[in-house]
Amino acid sequence: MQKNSKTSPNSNRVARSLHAHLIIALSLGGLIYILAVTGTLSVFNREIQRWEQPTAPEMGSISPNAAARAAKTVFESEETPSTHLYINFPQPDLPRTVITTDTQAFFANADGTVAEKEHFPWTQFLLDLHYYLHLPQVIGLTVVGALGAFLIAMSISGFMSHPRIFRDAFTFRRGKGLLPMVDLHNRLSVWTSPFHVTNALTGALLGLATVLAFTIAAFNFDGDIDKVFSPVFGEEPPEIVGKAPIANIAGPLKYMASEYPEQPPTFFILHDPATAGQHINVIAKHTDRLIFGEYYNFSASGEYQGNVGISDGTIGQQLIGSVYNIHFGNWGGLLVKIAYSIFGVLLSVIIASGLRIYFVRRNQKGLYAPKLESAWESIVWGTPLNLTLTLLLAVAGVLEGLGLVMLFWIGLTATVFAACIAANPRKVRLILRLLTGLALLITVLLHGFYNLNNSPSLAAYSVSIILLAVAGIVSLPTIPLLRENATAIGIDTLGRNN
Amino acid sequence: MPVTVQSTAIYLLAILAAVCGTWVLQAAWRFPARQWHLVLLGWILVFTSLYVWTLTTTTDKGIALGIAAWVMIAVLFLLRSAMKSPVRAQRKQRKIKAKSKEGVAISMPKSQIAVNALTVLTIGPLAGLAAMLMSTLLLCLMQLVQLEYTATIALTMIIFPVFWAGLAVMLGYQQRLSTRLVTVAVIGLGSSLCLWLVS
Repeated sequence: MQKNSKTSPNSNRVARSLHAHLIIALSLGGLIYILAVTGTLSVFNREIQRWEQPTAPEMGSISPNAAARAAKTVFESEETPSTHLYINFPQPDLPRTVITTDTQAFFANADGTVAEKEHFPWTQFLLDLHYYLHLPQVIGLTVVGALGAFLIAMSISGFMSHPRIFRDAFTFRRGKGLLPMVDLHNRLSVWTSPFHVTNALTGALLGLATVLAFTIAAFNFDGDIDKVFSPVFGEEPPEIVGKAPIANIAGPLKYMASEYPEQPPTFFILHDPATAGQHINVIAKHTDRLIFGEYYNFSASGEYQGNVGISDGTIGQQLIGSVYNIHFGNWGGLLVKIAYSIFGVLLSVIIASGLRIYFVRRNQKGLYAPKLESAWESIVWGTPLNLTLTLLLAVAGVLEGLGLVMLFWIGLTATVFAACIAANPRKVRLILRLLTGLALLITVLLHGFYNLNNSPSLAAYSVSIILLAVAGIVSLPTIPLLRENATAIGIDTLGRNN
Repeated sequence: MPVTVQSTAIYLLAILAAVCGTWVLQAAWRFPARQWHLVLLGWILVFTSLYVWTLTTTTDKGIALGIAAWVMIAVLFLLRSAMKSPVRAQRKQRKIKAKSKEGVAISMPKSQIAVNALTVLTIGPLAGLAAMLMSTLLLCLMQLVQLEYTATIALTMIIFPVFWAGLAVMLGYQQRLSTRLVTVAVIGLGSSLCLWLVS
């Protein structure tokens, strides 16, 4: 950047802050955008699960005896005894009982019999993409957490480079061109900052906790990582080797129902089942709090041993216990989820428009970069397209697990390469939008065809309707524009001939 | 809060306060000269809304609900502003001559690519490492003055990404690669030295 002796300190600060903003945007904007899109979808991961596997039994609640019966049946069916046995209880947005071990998961019927295996490959693919970018767990969490830190950096540098933040507080010009795009980017960034700064911070907290724990343990606890978080989440009791009959599962659940009727259990965790050292945690929801729940501890015989303190312990425990729910928006029912999904879409728009502004400014200076600009458009619209293609093939039963992962990343890379070859950002945008809409339509029709004889829940129907609506919004406006492009020489919005 | 006439009235009051507060802020913005009394009134109403939300549930959840509701209301106000503003006719675009003969961006020299890569490395992993050491140092110092442990670990978990973000902005703000490298080295090594002395 050249020094200009006539530049005021304020404009110098703005220019340098914008430079910092740009460095991060250019190097990491694509990955942050993928996180924003997948995060938005993840808000409704439970509804998508129900859509993906509509045949699973659903119930408002399950009795302690029935839950215990189902859990024992699954545990006893395992060839190698599991080190953990979980019961996931019905929730308002996921009214299903799931019994999970180290290696498998089954739905339970309300009478305690075991139903089908849990199978929602696309939802799992989506969550793994958002949590880990499909990298090995600790590395992926750290990378994703780092991207959260960079999103905070974008907010800081964005505010620093926005000297007219108050004067322009409600300015929103309409039309095509640079100024309306700048207004869109700046106004949305400022007014939705409570959401995206909080989400970036909580996401960074969750992602970077492991690597931070390693460092703290190394300096403070002689490398013992368990000691870093045990004051928050409770200490593990000492391991006792030896076999024992499986613990009393129904007893703790009956205790919770009688002593804490206002706190419905969300998880039952049996550690080291059928061993002498087995012990029980029941995680119960506090619906009037932001915390994810409280741990209620029980012995193997079902004797209550106290709670950990997430709900009523130290400020630090309560704060850390709230991070997960604040990030994922599952603390306030459907309305809060809808708000989070809208904010997530707006964050995606902010990121997409930010780099578009960069390219428009470049073009205004004669520094055309059609390949790079096309590459950015291919990330913006290639991400939803490739997510839809993975959904389509998962619904069709063609791909799951690693297949979906490879399809997404190879597909996105191929989309970017193809866009660079085309070197026409407007055409790339229009074609990818149209393909996304078509793919969504085919997916919904295929899902409907495969589930003709099933009775999907209202949530599952809602997902289909929303997917159809998104298909329409994304693709229909492109059809007349593509017709114009088909007859004219490709002329983009700045009047360049391509 | 169970749905009753009283609870519905409280919800409506909270929403109304947020809407009025945002409306007053927008009214203040319309004046050519800053109207501090209107700005103050607007923010008082917004914070009143947050307080009223806490009456519907516990403090933490109430504030969160209030912020979520207020951001939605602000976005709706923006949408209203956008719908009311006239659509500007796009100026006839003049053809801008490309800076290179081929009409595409001049390719970057290899030295600049190397500088850019090192810049990303500095702002990324190196700044992250320095931030992690700073955060751990902060935790050790808080433990030295015997602050309650869970509070210190919570604060450290929050401070780490904020330090990293702040460092990234500071390094991006600087103009020379050498300055960036020296800055991150001083912060990282300084924190390591202090950690070694303290722990």
